[in-house]
Amino acid sequence: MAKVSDTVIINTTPQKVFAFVSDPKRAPLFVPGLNRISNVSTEKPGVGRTWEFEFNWFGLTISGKTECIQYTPDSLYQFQTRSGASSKWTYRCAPSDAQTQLALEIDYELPENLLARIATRSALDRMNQNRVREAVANIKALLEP
Amino acid sequence: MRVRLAWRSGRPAVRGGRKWLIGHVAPPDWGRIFTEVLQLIGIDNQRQGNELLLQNGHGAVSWQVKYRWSIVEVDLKGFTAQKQQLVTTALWKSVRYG
Repeated sequence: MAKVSDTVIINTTPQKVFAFVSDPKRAPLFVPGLNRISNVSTEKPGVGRTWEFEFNWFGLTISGKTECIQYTPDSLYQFQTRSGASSKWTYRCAPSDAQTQLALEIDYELPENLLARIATRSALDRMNQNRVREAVANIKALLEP
Repeated sequence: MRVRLAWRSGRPAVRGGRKWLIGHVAPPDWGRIFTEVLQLIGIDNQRQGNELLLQNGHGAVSWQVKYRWSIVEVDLKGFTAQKQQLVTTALWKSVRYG
């Protein structure tokens, strides 16, 4: 699996950041290319919660199902796609002075058919790195006044 | 999954302003759809007829419903340029998929 990651400092509490990123319905607000989330299995957050996604990945629409696999309130949130493109997303929140350090790490497999069609692996890896950077910057922009 | 056909005007008439034309069969409940999105972002709002007024004078979202189409206007003020873009994109996604 390939991996991309980025970190940002957000001027609010870890509790607020964690609550924001760990609600799957909020993900289309800050994940570039994520069209929608639907069929969230339960309102209660935690391991085992599932939902469906539709993602526009550089022109290719990918849909599938996702499951939360780690949930430690205010610090660690991880989910993994169960169908569609294979990926694992990990959010970590940590206090940093009066602020929060948010880290997002994505492990993913590139769909080979797309790889052959549109770009080299290194180009797609760069595009994904840009997207993860954009996602954490978006979270910061939405949570700060 | 449902997707609505929608068109965006080429350029905003004013900074922060957007106008969209959306085709539909049954008229969507725009007030509910936009309120849900704004709540997810954490922006309080107040409904006045076919308009949502955003907290702290941050602008408004309004809509006109016709027989087979609606016009939605988004006029945001006071946010950073990035936040304005994110709010607009979130509202646009709700128009397409909400």
